[in-house]
Amino acid sequence: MDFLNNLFLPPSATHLHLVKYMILLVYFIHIPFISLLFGGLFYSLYFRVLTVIEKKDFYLDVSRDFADILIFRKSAGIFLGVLPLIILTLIEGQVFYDAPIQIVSFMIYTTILVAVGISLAYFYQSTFRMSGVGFLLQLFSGGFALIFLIIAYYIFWAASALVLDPGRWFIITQVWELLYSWNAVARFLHFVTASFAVAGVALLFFFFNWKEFQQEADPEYAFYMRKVGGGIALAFTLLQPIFIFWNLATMPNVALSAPVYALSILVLILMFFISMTLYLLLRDHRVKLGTNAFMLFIFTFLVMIVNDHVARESATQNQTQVLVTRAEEVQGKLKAEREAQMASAEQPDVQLGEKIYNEQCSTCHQFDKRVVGPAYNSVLSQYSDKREELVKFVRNPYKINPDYPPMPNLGLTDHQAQSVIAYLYKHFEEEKNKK
Amino acid sequence: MKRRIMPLVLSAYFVLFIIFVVLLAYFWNRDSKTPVQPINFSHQIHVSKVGLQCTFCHDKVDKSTFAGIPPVQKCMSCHKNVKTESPEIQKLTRYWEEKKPVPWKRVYSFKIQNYVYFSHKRHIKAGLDCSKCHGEVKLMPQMKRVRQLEMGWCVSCHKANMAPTDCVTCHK
Repeated sequence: MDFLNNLFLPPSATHLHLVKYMILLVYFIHIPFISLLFGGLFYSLYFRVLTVIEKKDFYLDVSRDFADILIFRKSAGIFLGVLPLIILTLIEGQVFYDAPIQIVSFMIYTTILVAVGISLAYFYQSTFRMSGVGFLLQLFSGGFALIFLIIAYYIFWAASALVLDPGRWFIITQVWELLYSWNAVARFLHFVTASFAVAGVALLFFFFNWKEFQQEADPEYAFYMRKVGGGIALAFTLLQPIFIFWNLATMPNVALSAPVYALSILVLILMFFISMTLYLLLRDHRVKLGTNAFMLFIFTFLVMIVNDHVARESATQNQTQVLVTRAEEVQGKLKAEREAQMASAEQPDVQLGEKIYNEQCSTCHQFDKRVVGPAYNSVLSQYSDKREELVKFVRNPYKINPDYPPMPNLGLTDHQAQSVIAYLYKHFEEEKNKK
Repeated sequence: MKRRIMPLVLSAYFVLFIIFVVLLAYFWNRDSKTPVQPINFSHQIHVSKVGLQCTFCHDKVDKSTFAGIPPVQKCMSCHKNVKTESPEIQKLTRYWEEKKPVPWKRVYSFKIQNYVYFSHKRHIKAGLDCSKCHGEVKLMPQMKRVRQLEMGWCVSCHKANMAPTDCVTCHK
C-alpha cells in the first residue's frame, strides 16, 4: 500500500500542530457515539434472543427500546460514525507521512467495516417498525452488524496500540499481524466493556428523561428498565479498572509518562464516583441519578481520550520531529531552488558560498589561524592554480595532513562547493590586497 | 448493615487499583529512563548541524560487536579549538587534562546482558539503518532509549527480514 503515501503531501509544522488537535476532536465525536451504538446493539440483540427463549413479549419491548434509544438516527450514523473515520484516515495519512507504518490501510479497513456494520445496525433498527419481519432476519442483520463492528474496532484499537510502539511499525505490515499484541487486546476489551457500561447509563438517561418513553411505559416496565440499565452499567463500570491497569501494564515504555499515570488515576477516581452514583440509584430507586451518572461517564470518556492522546504524543515525538525537520528541509530546498533560478546555474554564487562558509565551514576553519582544520590563508595560496582539486576535496574529503583530524563529508553539491571556493578566494584576495 | 458495607467495598476496590497504578508508575521504566550524562552532549548538533556521520565517532560499529564510544582524544581533536568557551566543553577539557575517560552512562543494554550475544557489525553489514533500533538519533538533543530491545521485538524483526531465529543466534 505504498501508493497511499503518494496521495499525501508532507505537512508543515503548523499544519501538523493543527491536525493533532483535530484527532482529539474526531475522537471526542466518534468514540462516545460508537460506544452507545455498539452497546445498544448488543443489548437489543440479547433481549431479542431472550424473547424467543423465554417466549415473553416483554423482552421484545426492551429489545426495541434499546435499539430505538441507543442506535439513534441514520444521519447520526453518517456524521458521527462514518465521516469522522474518513477524516481520521486522512489525518493519519498526514501525521504518519512516509513513516513505515501501514496506518492508512488499517484505517481504510476499519472505515469500510464500520460503514457496513452501521448500515446493518440501522436495518436491524428499522425491522422493529416493519410488519411481518421474522426473528431470523433480525438475528442475522443485528448479528452481522455486531460482528462487523467487533472486527472493525479490533483493527482500530490494535492499530492505535501499534501507533504507541514505533519499534514495531516496520514489522507489522499485514492486518492479521495486528492480532498479536496484549496491548491491543486490553484496549479492545476496554472499549467493549466501557461501551456496555455507557450504554446502560445512557438507557437510564434517555429512558427517564424523554417524555415519549415515560408516557408509554407502565411502572413495572420502568422498574425493570432501571434495574437492567443500572445493573449492567454498574457491573461493567466495575470491570473498567482491570482494563485500565492492563492497558498501562502492556503499554510500550516510549508512550508512558507521568501525565499518563496521573490521568489514569483521575479516570479511576471518576469511575469510583460513577459506580457510587449507580449503586445509590439502584439502592434508593433514585432514577434522576442516571443523569448524573451519564454526564460523569461522558466526562470520563473525554479524560480517557485525552490520556490516550498524551500517550500517543509521547510515542510519536520522534515521528513529529522527523516531519518538522522534513518540512523545514522542503522549505529550504524550495528557497534554494528559487535562489538558484535567480542566479546563473553555471556560475558559482559567492553569496551562497559565504552563507555555507558561515553555517558550516567556520565551525572548524578560519582564514588567519588554525581552528580544527588548517588556516585558509595557508591552504588557498597552495591551490591558486588548481581550484578544481579543492572543489573535489570539499565534496569528498580525505586525510592529507596527519597533524589535523579528518574533515567530515558535508554533503555539498558541486555548485555549492564551487560557490564556497569562489567565496574563499574572493575573501582571500580582498584581504591580500588590503595588505 | 448492607447499606454501609457496599460503599466501603466499592471504595476499597477502587483504592486498590489506584495503589496498583501508583506502584506501576513507581517501578515504570526504571531501568530505561533517560540517564543524566556527565556532559550534555547533543547528537542533534553533531549529526544534523555539523553533518558528522555516525561512523565518524562510532568507528567500530561496522568492525566490532560493540559500536564503541569515541575516546576523549577524538572529541578533543575538534574541541581543542571549537566552542572552547562552552562550560560543557570545559568539562570535557578537564577530563582530557586529567587523562580520565568521560564516565558516560549507558543508554542501551539488554535486561539480561550476559545471556544475549548481539553484534553491531553483523547488523550494519546486513544493511540495517541505525535508526531501526536507536530511533532518529540525529534529532535528539539528549540521547534517550526509544526501543526496549525485548526478545519478542528482536524475533519479529528477524522474521520480517528473513534473519535466523535459532536460539543460538543470540544465546551462545
